Amino acid sequence: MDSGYQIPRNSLIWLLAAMFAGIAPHLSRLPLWLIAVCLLSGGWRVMVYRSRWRLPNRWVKAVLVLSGIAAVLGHYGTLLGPEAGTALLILGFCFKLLETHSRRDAFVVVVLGFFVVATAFFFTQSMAITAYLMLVCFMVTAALIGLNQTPLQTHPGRTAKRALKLIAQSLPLMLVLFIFVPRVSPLWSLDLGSSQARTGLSDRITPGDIAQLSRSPELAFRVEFDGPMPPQHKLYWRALVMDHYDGATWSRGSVDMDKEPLVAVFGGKQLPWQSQLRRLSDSYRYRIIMEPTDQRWLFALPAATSSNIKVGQSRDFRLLTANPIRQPFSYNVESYLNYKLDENLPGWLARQNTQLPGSGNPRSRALAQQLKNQSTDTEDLVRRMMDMFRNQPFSYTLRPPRLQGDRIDQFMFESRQGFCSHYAGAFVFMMRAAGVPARVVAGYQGGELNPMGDYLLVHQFDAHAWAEVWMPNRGWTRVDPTAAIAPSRVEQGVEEALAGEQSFLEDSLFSPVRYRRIAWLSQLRFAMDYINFAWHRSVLGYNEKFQSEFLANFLGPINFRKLGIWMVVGVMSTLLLIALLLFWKRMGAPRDPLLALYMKFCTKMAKRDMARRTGESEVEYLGRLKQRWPEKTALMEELTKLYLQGRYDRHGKQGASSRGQRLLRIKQLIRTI
Amino acid sequence: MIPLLQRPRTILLLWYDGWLRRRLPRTRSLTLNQKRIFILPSRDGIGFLMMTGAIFIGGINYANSLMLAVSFLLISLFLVSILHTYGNLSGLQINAGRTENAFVGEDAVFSINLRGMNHQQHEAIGLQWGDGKAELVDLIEVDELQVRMLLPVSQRGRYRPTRLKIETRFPLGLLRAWSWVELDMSCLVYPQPNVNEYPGALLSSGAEGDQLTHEGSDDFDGLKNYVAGDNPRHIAWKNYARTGELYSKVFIGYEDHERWLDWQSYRGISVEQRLSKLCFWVLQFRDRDSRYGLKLPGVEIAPGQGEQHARRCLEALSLFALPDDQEGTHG
Repeated sequence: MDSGYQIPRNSLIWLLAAMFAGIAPHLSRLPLWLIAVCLLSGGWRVMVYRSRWRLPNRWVKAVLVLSGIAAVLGHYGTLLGPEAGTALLILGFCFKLLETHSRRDAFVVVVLGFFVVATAFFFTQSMAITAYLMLVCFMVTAALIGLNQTPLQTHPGRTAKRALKLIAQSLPLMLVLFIFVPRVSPLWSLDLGSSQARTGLSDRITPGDIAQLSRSPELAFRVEFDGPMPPQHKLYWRALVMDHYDGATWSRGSVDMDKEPLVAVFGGKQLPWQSQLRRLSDSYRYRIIMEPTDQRWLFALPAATSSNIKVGQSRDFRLLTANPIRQPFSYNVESYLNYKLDENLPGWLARQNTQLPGSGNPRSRALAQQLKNQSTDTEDLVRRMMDMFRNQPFSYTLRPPRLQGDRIDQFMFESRQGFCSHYAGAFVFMMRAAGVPARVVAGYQGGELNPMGDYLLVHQFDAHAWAEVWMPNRGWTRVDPTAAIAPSRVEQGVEEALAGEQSFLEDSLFSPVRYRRIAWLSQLRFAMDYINFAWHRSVLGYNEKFQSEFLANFLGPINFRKLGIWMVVGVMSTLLLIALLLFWKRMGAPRDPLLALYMKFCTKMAKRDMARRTGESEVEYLGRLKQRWPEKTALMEELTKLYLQGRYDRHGKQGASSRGQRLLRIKQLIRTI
Repeated sequence: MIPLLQRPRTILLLWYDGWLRRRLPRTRSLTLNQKRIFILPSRDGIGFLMMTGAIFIGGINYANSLMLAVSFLLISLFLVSILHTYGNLSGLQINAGRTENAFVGEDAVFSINLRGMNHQQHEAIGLQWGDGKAELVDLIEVDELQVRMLLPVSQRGRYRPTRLKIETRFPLGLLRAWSWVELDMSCLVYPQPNVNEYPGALLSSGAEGDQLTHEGSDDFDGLKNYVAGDNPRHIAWKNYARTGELYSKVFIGYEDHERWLDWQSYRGISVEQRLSKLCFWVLQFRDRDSRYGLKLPGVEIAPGQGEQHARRCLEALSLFALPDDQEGTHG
């Protein structure tokens, strides 16, 4: 079994370094036992290298492999999917290290190293991680070089230098490929599982949830507008519509709006209900680059359509994708801020949006009836309701008292302190109690402009809840009761609205967002975010659409053929440049001008059939030349003498001027000969 | 079926052989350049490309730009390593060096001098002759390197090795660059010495009787103190190891007559066996520093002594009854 193959020292050093560096980014996701197995395998290999231990025999290996697979299966419940797959890959990488009996085995280990690097991008795609993984790629390359060196080469530094050179020369080529290789849409649809906890909206709102979210300075998404941006108070990013109330929590109703046939694909077959959206005017085009949410819903201003093929539209006119968003995702949207939605409300929708629990909150119901009786139509009712919020001593706070039992009654008549979700919830409850279809909408409101890249940053603390009320002839109309209580929330953002309370991001002491009033810190934060934004937009978001738009700027309209040609041309010219760099020294004439002149002399003589033989000394050659052309003896002797003088007096005993004179003289001689 | 298939194969091989010969003619010295270097992906390289393809598919399917970038980086590494692997061979100058003759069944030594141009480094260069053992050498920090290669020889005569294969997979092992070099080198393969009784019947046929006194002798007589100038072959090394003093072995013998080694004295055995037996005695006489001559049909080497003389005799034995310039093959 054991043929005694040893991975060369140089390779082993780099391989172990690459192995641990490559596994490091996975550490937080991997179970502890797997890390222990990695350490054990690496240590074992080192002991084998030092001839202390032997490689495990067949039975030990079989037990290791089987128990490893069983453990992965036990831990993840599956062997498929990125998480379990990566764990298996890392396990295989470690075990293969214990099973290297030949150079080929060692090669497989090294190549698995590249694979481990690639899988790390399933989970994180930040710039820092990318730079780090480039470093790991470099280490793996060094290990691969070490594998191909003779055992005499034991200096890891030399190997590293070569690896660095290779990587450095590959980078421009990689860039060319990255830009020009035609991007295609996924061949088959895949869902990346995820076990990471994410901050973000959830599809159930219990008053207090959004308040929780408002403590997070994390980024939710970025928006880049083509052209002007709507005013701040119109930036209502819809994500979820909640139409079911159970007395405590707002949630999505019994009819799943995110399923066929209540989901339409843009550009596909027009479903009858899609005509319920009439887009009138005030259109905006923009591009949203969102962070992973593990949810299917997307964010958009109202009346949105997208040209992204992965994006569809639900019956409540939100955007969504087929699979949960597990990695940064970008999509283009067109929205109309002047629109009409569901002018004719179908009966089932009306029923769904007037649903209320059978009992509870009697005082609020009574108040709603009373207001309804006073008002002439729905519009008037909404106005009266808003006036009530405005005139009663309601206050906007992140620290509302806890509510129990008849929560709406308590909120409306006792505590009167709450956050957007309290107001939206109470408002919709009252509207429904008055028999008007209404629903709670959750999403984000506002955003922070990054002046550097002219794009919007929407943070988790911008999370918001508001209401949509159905009115005859107008359809669904947005009503934001929070705006009545704390107008600054909508005009200037949550920080302003909470200025008196000092509760804005009070848990995130170290978040730079918290200190956005400090100018230089803000500048720095914007600059950092701009770099990140560019990374997300231009690198992570470099998809089919972005590629064709980007390249069209330089090359005109793009098609597959054109891309292919440009790709080949780009790769070839880059390779040519690298080749020039590599072989410049060899292709050029010898650098030494003296030698060059003498070579010229030899070539001249060679043309007259007196080529210098290989290994013939200058003096021997001179002898033959003299025999052939006795009349030129003196000239040739002088030339050879000058050349030899110059050649063996290299340490500059003679000044530069005499060296120059000598060259000049030799030139003359060559001409006369 | 098989002969039908084999025929085109043979034709193809012959054509390839001729093409190689035209492209890379036999020479004493040459520099590897783009005309002479072949380069193709190695088996590892194909595996590497397949893995890269898998990462690419993963990148496409998960719409993961960075995974795609990794696959592009790997492709780029592959492409760049074409240049590096090629560069590792190109500019390497190969010079035929000394050869050492050998007896059948032993290894002949062929020295090859490698030279890098312009202080270029060449790493992990493999040299291989036929099925012989490959030598892996580095040209780092030295401009010139002598490689001694051992080639097993199995046939008497002039031995010309087949084409020398110079191969490298450095730096990544993904590509194999190689060249075939037909070096104008040859050595003599002497018959395998075969121990036998000295055919005494033909002991002395040298009639002139010129008495050349010399120290060479046949039978061991004793030891005397070593004097500078004594034949080093006669130093009693075992004694030296024991006592630390140098002694010369003294032989008594037939100083006054010349010996002839004659083809005719071995009858009834095959040519090769005869040559083997003669060879044994040439070596014996050489070691004893005797005077001897060699008679083969059509060849007669007058009596003489010393290394040069032995060499002439061995050459005659080696080339006996062979065409002038036989292409040596072995195997």
